[in-house]
Formats: sequence, structure tokens, C-alpha cells
Amino acid sequence: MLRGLAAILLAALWSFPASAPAADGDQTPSYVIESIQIRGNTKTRGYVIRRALRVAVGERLSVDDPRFELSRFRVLSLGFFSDVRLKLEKGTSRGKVILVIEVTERGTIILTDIFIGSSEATKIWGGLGVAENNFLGRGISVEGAFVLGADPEVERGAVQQSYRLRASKRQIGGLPISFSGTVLFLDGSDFFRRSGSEHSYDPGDFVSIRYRRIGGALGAGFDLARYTRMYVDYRGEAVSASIPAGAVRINPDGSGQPINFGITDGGSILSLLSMTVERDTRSDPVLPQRGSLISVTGDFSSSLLGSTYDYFKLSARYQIFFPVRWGHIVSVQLFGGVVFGQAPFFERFFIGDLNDLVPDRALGLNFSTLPSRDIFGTSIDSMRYEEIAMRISGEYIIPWFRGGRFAYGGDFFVNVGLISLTSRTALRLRDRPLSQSIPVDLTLDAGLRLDTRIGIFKLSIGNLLGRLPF
Amino acid sequence: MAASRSRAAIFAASLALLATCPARADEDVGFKHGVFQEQGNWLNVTVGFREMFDSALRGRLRNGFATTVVMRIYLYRRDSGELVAFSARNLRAVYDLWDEQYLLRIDEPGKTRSLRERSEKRVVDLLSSTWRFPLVRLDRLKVGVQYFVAVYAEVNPMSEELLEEVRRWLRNPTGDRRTSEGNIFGSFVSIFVNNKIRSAEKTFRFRTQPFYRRP
Repeated sequence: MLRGLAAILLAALWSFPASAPAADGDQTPSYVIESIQIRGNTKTRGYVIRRALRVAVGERLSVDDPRFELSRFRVLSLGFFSDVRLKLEKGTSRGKVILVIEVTERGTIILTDIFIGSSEATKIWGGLGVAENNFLGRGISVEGAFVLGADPEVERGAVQQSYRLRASKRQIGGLPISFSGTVLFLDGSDFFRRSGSEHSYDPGDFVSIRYRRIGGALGAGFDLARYTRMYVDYRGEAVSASIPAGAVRINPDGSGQPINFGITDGGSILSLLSMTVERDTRSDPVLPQRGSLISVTGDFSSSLLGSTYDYFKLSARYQIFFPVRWGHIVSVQLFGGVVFGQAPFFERFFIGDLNDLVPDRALGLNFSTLPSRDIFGTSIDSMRYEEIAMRISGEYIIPWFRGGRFAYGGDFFVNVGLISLTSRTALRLRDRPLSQSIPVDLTLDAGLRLDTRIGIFKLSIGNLLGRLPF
Repeated sequence: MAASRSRAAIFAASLALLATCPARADEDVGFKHGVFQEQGNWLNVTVGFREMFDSALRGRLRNGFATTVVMRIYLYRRDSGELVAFSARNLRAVYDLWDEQYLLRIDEPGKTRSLRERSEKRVVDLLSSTWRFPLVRLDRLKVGVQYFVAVYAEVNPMSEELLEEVRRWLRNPTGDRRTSEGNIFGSFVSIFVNNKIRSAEKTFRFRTQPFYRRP
């Protein structure tokens, strides 16, 4: 009652017409930007911030020009600041202003990867990736990652290790082109079946080859259109491999055949050009709710480039997200790829990269002998590194929350799909019609995706199964 | 029983208000006392919600850029939760650096007002209240039936185009990481920016006490 009376009294006391009426017409001031001042940056160089702005000195702009707000978000999007504020101050004469960008810097070292797992073949492996995204305050991203595995239980196996160092910069010299460089050192032992049935993952049924990759890549990326970006990379690696002489795969019926390791014994060179075009209209890069992503990549390795391996690898990916009832989201995801020619095994499609229930590779290293489960009995359990790959899956996403202080968003998801992995040889040498000769398996995953202050986390069944022997 | 139905209707109407507005976990529908007056053939509404302008927003009023408030005003029947009337106001204040005064523009259905004001307090009052705002013609209100008003106000709402542009930039802020390699870096940026990207800088929603028209 009292509050009601207070409200009535307050309303009676107000007399809005006391404000002076202004002349009709557009009241929005417009000013010439005389200078731009950046305040609060102790580490980040001024030019890094200026480059992200969408306004420039000398421009006459209305104070409600959307480029101001866009500039604020672009500076914020650099990831170097916890807050960015814009304000205008009087310039040297009427009509001129100083645009002040006030920033609050934040730590820019983040965790990019966590590798941890265990399998029948490798008791434990682990690693870490760390990035400093504003190296020396110059807006350069430097990222280092490593993974180490225990001595595998596989014959001829040795400790596996991989190290990667990567640096990238959005622009150099004002060019609207991003540049990146990567250095890789990998000392691996991959596993090839030499006996037992196809669904066995007993390390005793496998033999290991030791190989080493040392090299790097240089890349550039640029916008083709509003949502379309193109990347061109060159990658060169010195590869050395030690293949056991006369290694034979003994089939369960007692017959034998030479094992194709898919790599040149001794030293070799991998030299390739890679081109990727992608169109991304997703509403969010981490937890999208609508939009689509299409990406096509072609890798061309040839003796013309000095490579020991002549092949062409084409892969394409499509994802679409659309909202359905109750704010839930449905996504359809397609992937397909084919390799023409003789690619080294590590450049082919790997079962663990397709099937969520098989451990995927960590920094290029495989630590497991687990095959695909072969639920449909199509012999996909014999496929590991192959030339033809497909995956089609559907995902149902239930958004959990948005806007937390530590975890900025979380979605529950269920993903069910079909995968296929095969080789041209397997398709050619078949005793059944083609439709019955395509190895297919079921893949499924369910869990929670979290976008947090310290990185993305995916807590899922597939993640768990991929990291434990079973 | 009737009271229970009435509470259910208010709950339904509150849900409807929530459903029509962008949802945020940290916002609740508040309660404000409004003043309802008959003037001519219209019902006028007076209600203030100055607390929407916290110290941060007040501090930004003088930054030289425009501050915009979009108010959506809904009138509901209390018993059924039926939406009876809807109106909107668009208010904008810009601090003129050289004349050291605020320029205000108020757009309401059928009219636009332009004002000049030197007092920041007055500007805040203007941006966070309705003063004898004609909401609905009296002949649309039934005598004896209870109604209430719900208000949803946004401060500095972002246009869809700008939101889209921001999201586009966010997808690849460093320009070096294609999505096929994973989204770790994209995530890094979204981590620190997503919580700052909202469709509006601030939103405020409340409903008033119920009222009814006398015979």
C-alpha cells in the first residue's frame, strides 16, 4: 500500500515537460576523428589493437555508426582483453574528437590440448598443448604441444613421442592474409596386424614399425567472400622408417601374405601442397545452434615437388545445424574422402579418426590396436589406414546453459552415425556384389560439451571408451 | 480455487513474457508499482525503473556515443493471461561533447519528441520510465476485470546485422585456424567474448501490480 502511494506521489512530482524541446531534425552528432588513443595496454602493442578497428583517423562518423561497436567487439575478439571500452573526448577544435580505446588486459596463455589414454597396446599415454596467443604483445600466437606414450606391448615397438610447435599471425605488413608456420617432430611405432582374427586387438597379434617424421609447414589464409575462407599450405617432411624384412600376415586359415606397411623403407621425403576452402555460417564456432559449415581440402604430393610419394587426397565435410522444438538443435554431419595414389599410411584415413568408439590419433600418433567393432559383420574390423572414408551422422543437441562466469556454455548431445572405411584394392578384389562389400560400422557418442574459461571439454562415452582398453 | 487459477494465469503470462524475450539465466521478472490513470479515451501508465541504469551504464552516458533504450510494454488480463495490448517506445540519448548537454529523441506510436537536457539524473529518469504513456483505449478494458502491465526494456540492443558481423569475426579471429583442424583457438576467443555478446547491453523486465477499471 505504502509503495503504491509512493509510486503515485513520485509520478505526481515528475514533470517531464521541464526538458527543453529541441529543434526537429536529426540530432545525432557526427564528428571527425582527430586521433585514436589506446589506454590500458601494458603488454599488447598499439598497432595490434588499431589493426582490428573499423574506424580511422580523419573519418567523419555519426556517434551511432555501427562501426564503433563492431570495432569494440573486434578488439575484444582478439582474446587479449577482458574488457574493451570506447569513448569520445573533445578534440582540438569543435567537431573534432579523440577516440579513446580503454582496454583491460588478461592472461593469454591457455591449454589447447590434453592427451591422456590407455589401451591394450600402450599402457598409458599423455600430453599437453599450451598456447600463448599474444606472444611479446605482438598478436602472434605461439602454440606448443607434446605427447608421450609408454613402451608398447607390441613386438619391435618403442616409446612414441610427438612434438609440435606452431606460430601464426593474422596479418603481416597490413596484408589481409594470415600466416602460420608449424614444426613437427614425431618418433612413432605404429602397429600392423600379423596374425589372429580381424577383431582381435591382442598386441601379440601385431608387429610394429618404427618411423620418424621431421618437418614443418608454412601456410596462408585469406577471405574469398563474407563467409568463405581459403587456406594454402606447403608441408615438407623428412621421413625415415624401419620395416621388418619379410613381414608376413598369417591368416586364421594358415595362409600368408606380405604386410603392406604403406611407407618407404629407409629415408623418404613427403612434400605436398594443400588447399582448403571453407564456408562457415554457423552461429557459434563452439556450440552452434544454426548455420552450416562446408569444407573441402585437397592435398597434392608429387615428385614434381620433390616428394617420394605421389598421391592426391581429397576430403570434404559438411555440417548443418537447425533449431527444433523446445530450443533443441538437430545437426546432420557428412564426411567423405578419397586418396588417389600411394600415400604414406599416416596420410590415409584412420579408423580412430572416423569412429568415436576407437581411440583417435594424438599429434599424429596411434597408441591402440583396437579395430572397429564391426557390428554389421561387414569386415570393417580389418580396416585401419585406408584410402576411402565416409561418415554420416545425426546429432541431437540439448542446450544446457549459456553465460556462466567460468563455463560459458554447455550442451548435451547424442550422435549416431554410420562410417565406412575401405581401400580400392578391397573393393576390386571382392567375392560379393559391391553393395555388400562396403565395410560399414555404427558409431555413436553421447555426452556433454562445455565451453569454459580454460578450454573446450567434451565429456562423452566415446571419449571414455577411446581412452580405456575394452 | 479462483485465486489458484488467477495465480496460474499470472504464471502463464510471465512465462509468455519470458518466452517472447531473449532468455538470460541471471534475469528475473521483477515487480514495480505503476500508476494507471484514465485520460480521455485512453488508459495511461506511469512507472519508473531507474535501477536499470546501474553505475556502469550511467558512466557510459557521457562517453559521447548514443545510448538507446527500447521498451516493450504489454497489457495482460490477470485471469487468463491473455495479451490485451502491446506498445513500444524507442528512446535515445547522446551526450553532445561540445554543447555539454544531452540530446534526446523519444519515438512513441504516432509521435516523436526531441529534447535537450543538461541533468544526467533527468536523462536517466527519461530513459527508464513511462510518464502517462497511453497504452490502450478504455473501451478495450472490461469493467471489473483485473489487468497488469509487463515491461521488457533493452539498453543498447544490437542489430542483427551487427551481431552477425561480430559472430563472423569470432569464427576466425586469428585467421589462421581452419575449422577442420579443430576449434580450440576459436574456442579460446569465444571463451572470452561470448559472455560479452548479447543482443543488448542490458535487459530489464518487470510487471506491475494488478488493477481494474471501475464502473
